[in-house]
Amino acid sequence: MFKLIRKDLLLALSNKFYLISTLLFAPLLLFFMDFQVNEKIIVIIIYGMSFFLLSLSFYYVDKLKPEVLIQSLPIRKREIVLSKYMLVFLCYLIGVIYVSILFKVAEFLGYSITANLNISIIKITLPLVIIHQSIILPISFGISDRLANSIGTGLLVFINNFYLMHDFERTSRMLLNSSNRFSVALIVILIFVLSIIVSITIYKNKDLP
Amino acid sequence: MLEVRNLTKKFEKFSLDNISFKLEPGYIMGFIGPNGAGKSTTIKLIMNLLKKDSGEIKVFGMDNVKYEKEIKQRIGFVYEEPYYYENLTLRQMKNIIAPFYTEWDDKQFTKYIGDFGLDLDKKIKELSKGMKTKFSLALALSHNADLIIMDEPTSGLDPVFRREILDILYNIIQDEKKSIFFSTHITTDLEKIADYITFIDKGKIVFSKSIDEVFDSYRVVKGGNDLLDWHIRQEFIGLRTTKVGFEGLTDNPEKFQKILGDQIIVERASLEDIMFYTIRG
Repeated sequence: MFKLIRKDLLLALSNKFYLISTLLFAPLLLFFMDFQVNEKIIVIIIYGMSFFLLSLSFYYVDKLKPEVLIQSLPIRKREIVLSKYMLVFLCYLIGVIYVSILFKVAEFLGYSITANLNISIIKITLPLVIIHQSIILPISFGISDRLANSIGTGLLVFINNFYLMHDFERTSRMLLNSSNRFSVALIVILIFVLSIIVSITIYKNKDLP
Repeated sequence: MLEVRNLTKKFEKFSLDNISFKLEPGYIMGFIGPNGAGKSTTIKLIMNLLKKDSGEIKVFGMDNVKYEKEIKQRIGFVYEEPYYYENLTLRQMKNIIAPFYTEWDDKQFTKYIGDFGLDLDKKIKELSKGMKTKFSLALALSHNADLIIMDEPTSGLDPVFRREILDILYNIIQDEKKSIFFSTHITTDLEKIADYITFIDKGKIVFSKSIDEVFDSYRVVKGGNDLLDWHIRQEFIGLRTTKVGFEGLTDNPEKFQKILGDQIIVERASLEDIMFYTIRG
């Protein structure tokens, strides 16, 4: 399974234009905000970074359908699916680390960052990223990467506009409220597991073109 | 080595109907048929890229779905259309594929890359079709595979390189534990190297026999058009008439010789003759 993750990371690194665009997303956003960032902006950055990083490796849209090649290698279909779900956490982690480094660099350059990357931000962004990928991964395995990527982008714009930009207080309250904490965690885990089961079932029965 | 029994797969406009054949270790089997006959579908089913409706596929004596991972460790594959990540270099692609094989032999790979005149730092999208096939072949032959499965590997390649591929395959088969399953519609390639021929048409197996048996079974009969009457025409598997005479395929040349004597010429049929007349009728 780690070989598959390695493969996805290699693919991500090979797509230089998209990689640079992804890496530029956070600094450009910070620049346009004049480095006046609050928790809301950090959440948007981490959520966006995770999605773009995952898109790099997940949605390698190619005319020649390399899925045939991957499925011809000595790997079980279940492993192919599970590796993608593991990559969600890895890309999230890379996104968080990248943003932390970026903030340190900005501070070093004399910009004052007004908000901190703290545990509350993790508690908001991790469920968002998990649910987001839990929705689009079965589409990617069942229908096409291209469609999954389009739906993923639409979902990112929708959540950013309606839940983060305009209603951040309510969204963060709902995710951070101690009385909700257990049920939120349970729902997120349930959606994630259900998504894995659906993806494995679809992928095992899928005919390649 | 490879056993396909009563394999069925239905699509909207095409179905693979109850096909069976067997390939023993140490032999090359040519899988022939016209375009759209079901060759690639059969190979995809063997590789578990398609889900079969019914039937059984055993590779190395193991079920191809249940033991997919173990089986694919020992299979080298070459597809007609190379399904690679086009933006990667050959080296990057090799670095993705090699770790999946426990018996990957880097020395062997480097040797093939050198022999085939490939540049590891070139991007896959910069390669010609022939170069891509050479790269596929180098990957397929570098992990000590016992079964090489090839789907139309020589299609669209020049005769020189096709001959080179055949020589490589011939050398592989000197190891009696290895087998090659080779689909093609360029039948002249198979006449040089195949031990067995499986002929598929419209999703059905026409025959699966040793190449000697195939050549012993069929003959091309030639003669003047005046010899043809309704009864004679019915005796042919396939028949073609021109202004100068007729040419037909039969699996019973003795009967023609008995009826028409020395008015006809009976010749050895090539695989192409067999395929052409069987399909055309």
